[in-house]
Amino acid sequence: MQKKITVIWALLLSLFGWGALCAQTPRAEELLRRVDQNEVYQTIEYEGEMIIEYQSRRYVKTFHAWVRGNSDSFMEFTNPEDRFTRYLKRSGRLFFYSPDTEEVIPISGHLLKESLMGSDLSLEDTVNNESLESRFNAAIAGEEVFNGRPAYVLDLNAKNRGESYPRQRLWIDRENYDLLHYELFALSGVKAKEWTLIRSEVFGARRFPVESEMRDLLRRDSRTIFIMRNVILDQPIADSIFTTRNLER
Amino acid sequence: MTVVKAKDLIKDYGLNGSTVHALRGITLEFQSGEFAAIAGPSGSGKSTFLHLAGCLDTLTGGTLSVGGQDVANLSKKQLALLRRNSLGFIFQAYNLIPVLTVMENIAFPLTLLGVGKTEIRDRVLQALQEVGLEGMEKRRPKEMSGGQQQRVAIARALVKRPALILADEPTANLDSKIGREILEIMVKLNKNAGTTFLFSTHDPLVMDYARRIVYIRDGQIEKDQVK
Amino acid sequence: MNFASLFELKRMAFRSLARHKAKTILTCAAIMVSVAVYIFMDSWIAGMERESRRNIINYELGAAKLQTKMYFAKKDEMPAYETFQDWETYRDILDESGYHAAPRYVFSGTLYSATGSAPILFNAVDPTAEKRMMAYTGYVELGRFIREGEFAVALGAMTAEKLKAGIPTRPAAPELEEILASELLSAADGDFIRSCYEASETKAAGENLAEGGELRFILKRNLPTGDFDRLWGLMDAIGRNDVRISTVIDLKALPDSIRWDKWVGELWPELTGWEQALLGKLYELDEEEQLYFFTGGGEDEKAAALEAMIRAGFSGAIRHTNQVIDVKVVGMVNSPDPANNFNVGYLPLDILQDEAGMMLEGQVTELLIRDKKMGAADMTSPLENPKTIRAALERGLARRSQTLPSELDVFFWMDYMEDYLGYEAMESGSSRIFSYLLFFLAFFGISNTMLLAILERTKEIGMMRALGMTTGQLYFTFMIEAGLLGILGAALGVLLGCLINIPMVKYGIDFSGMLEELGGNIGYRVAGNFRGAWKLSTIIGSIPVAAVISSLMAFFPIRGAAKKEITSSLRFE
Repeated sequence: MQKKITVIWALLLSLFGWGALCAQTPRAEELLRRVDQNEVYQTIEYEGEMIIEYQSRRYVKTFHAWVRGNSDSFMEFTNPEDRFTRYLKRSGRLFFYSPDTEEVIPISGHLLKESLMGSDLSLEDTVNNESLESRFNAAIAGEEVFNGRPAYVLDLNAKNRGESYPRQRLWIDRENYDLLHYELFALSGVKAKEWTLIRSEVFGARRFPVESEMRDLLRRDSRTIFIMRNVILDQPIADSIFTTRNLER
Repeated sequence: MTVVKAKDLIKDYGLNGSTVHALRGITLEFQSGEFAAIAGPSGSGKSTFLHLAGCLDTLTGGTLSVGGQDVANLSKKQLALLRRNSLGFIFQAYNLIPVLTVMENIAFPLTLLGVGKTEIRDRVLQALQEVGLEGMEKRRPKEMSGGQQQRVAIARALVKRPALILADEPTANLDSKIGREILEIMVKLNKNAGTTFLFSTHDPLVMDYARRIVYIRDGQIEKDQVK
Repeated sequence: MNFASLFELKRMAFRSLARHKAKTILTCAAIMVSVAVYIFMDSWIAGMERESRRNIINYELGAAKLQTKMYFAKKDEMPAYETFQDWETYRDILDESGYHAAPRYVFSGTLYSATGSAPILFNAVDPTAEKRMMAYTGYVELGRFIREGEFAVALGAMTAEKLKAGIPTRPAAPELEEILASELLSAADGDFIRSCYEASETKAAGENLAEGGELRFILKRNLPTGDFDRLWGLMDAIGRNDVRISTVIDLKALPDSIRWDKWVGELWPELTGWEQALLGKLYELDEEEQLYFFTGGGEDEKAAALEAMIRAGFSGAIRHTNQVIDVKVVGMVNSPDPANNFNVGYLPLDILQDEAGMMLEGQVTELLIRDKKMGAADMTSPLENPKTIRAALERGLARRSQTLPSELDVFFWMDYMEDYLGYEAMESGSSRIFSYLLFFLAFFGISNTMLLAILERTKEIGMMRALGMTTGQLYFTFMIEAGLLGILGAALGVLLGCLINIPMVKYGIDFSGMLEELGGNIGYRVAGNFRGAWKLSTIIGSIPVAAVISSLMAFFPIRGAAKKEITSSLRFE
């Protein structure tokens, strides 16, 4: 019920052009919505590459990924050392297939948070696809130039207990609303991760980040460049992709 | 009293796929107190008859009673008990138990009968005296001559005072002097204690001593001679 | 057949053994070796099992645990969200009833040091209670145990060493150099640190260097306590002990909304009838948004709905929040139970209560329970039966006009150790196969010996049967003979086995190096020194068992002899 009322209120307010009154400095929620519009998708299929630099060593992992909504994803690694290693997330449950053991292993939710193949990303980071606006209260903390681009700085605080990172800070491009940079904080306030945009691409009406850098700040001297190629957004993906049979194939 | 009573006794046994007719209808009786020999060449059936009379083997046809019991109807165990209670054996090869002393060898049948320890001792010593081996009770068989060993075997056979002692070629391994001594002992036992002896033999010496000789040839009685 | 005749037959069996000396000795030796090996292995296994079980109770679990039934059902997943409150009341009641009780909140996480990271099982504990009943607290080899209220962790020594936290006990030359290079250390500090180490034996070190290996330094163990404290302080000063715990706080929470596809696919099919009815009442479908919204309900209904979702394994009911906690390593645990020395950390429970910790707000995952009269060397007492403990708890609660919440129960330590107990059974099974094989060979030897003995005495057997020995007596005589062979061999084997066992039980064999290589995980909860244990049942039992087996091995050869015609036995040459 509450939700419906909120929707009605939002419609009324936009009818009266309330938003236009604040055109100069957009509301924090508006900024967040812009980010969501750019980044949240129905489905995505891409070829990924992770360049992991860890304590002066460098590893490259390549993979093919399919993601649908927020609950289904499938990844298959293609670099020689990890070939045929596969991850499946289906209805929130996680499975791992290792070609060494030829076994499908169900994994508890914790692994979602753990490093994906030794990178700075967790599996959660690669499949995170939930709208920020619905989960966070946002406030504009100021404006800064980030990597040569003028940007709004946004502070996010979780609406509910149990949010993965209860506090986040975002840098949003003033002109094209690219998410330039964000920092993720643990509940205790310790900064845990840092993400920086390297390059985004235009897909229809949206700008989508295809190259970025992630740093897990708990790991010393570590960063991972994440590159997406041959991105296909919002095209239906066959159900057969997200099956354990596909894992064992 | 009749100790062995055979009527139309038949014994066949298989040998290399063919049947050997060892006894072809023997009708014969031996009375208590006899000192008799069954004689005949090798393969005549004399040993077979002795084995049947000694309940060591089962008959194929006819009837046989030993010590008044019809053996055809007895189980293996009953036969063993009949041998234990009523029969004594003396073998050509003495068949003493080498690990036991003379005393223990002679005591063996009494042990099987469950006789008490002191009684065994008394009876064994008496038997030793009867065969002329006083003081040798602690020896082992291998410390004795063949004749002495056979005397031990005789003592073993007579110690339980059986109704019948069966002796299978008892002198075959002994020279004639010793053989004669052995036979003298047996004659004496027969006379003094009335022990019944039945020999199987082809030794003329034994036939000399025997008071009745039954000649068997090809499984049939050839002659039944009483001296 | 009376006793006297049995006795006489037995004497014959004895004499026969004496007559065939060589064969008897050979067969006896085979039995002796197999029995000795069996006793040795059995003692070894018994020692490992006893020590392991004792260690699990005194170093890991206590004798029993008070825990939610749901946690127990899902214990393999370590459901840190399955907590309970009011443990202080239960602790007090247990205390009155003669039990120690120690609260714990158990969670998993990753520990980051300056040089690396390792997955760790964290036990948040009440240091005082823990010291009272858990023996590992006495094995803080370097540093000290944690104290209440400090952001500190006591780490398993092997893991601390690997993460380069605490005092290094066997640093390679570069590691020591790196420490000494710290600007935070004065020259005097550097000299002091150097003085605490000695190079590993020159010859060995030289060889290593020649092969391109590393020179190692060994921490001197005979330093005054004050020196260890100073050393620890210096390691603290250079930041070696500053570590971060990265973990996830799992919270059970009724979701405000559930996506339609998850509701239909993941949740609904797993629910029972009444649970479906309950959730159908609490949630309403918004068809436009494709979402089920929570519409409100009573506290009891909400709790029951949450319970149902957890039971159904619905992931949406558990929220994970990332947490990072900065702590200092204050001690290195090196206990006789390797489970404490590898990938385990102990934290004070009280620092984890709020947002800086694990948001516990008084909750724990378990209460460890131990009879106050039991010490670190003891197994469990009858008082530690879970039913007895539960009854004591219920009586105490009744005195306070309270009842034990239905979701809680007391579980025995063994209930948690299915994996270990399974391993134990498998390990002892496979170790025994070897000795069984030896047994088999030895007793096959008996069978062979008896076969020859019987063959050799065919004529003798014929004579004895002619004299009226029954088949039963025949079996008796020769089985006794074989049995005597078994007894003789086994008695010698027991003697030999016990002689080997004396040093095994007293000193054991040191495998700590191998253990470290294997990451402490050998299944058995035994650190380093593996010791045997006297197992009287085996030692006493092996003699009659050997006798019986030997006798049985003689059965078939005897049957062969018994089946033979007496007349043909007599003719046998």
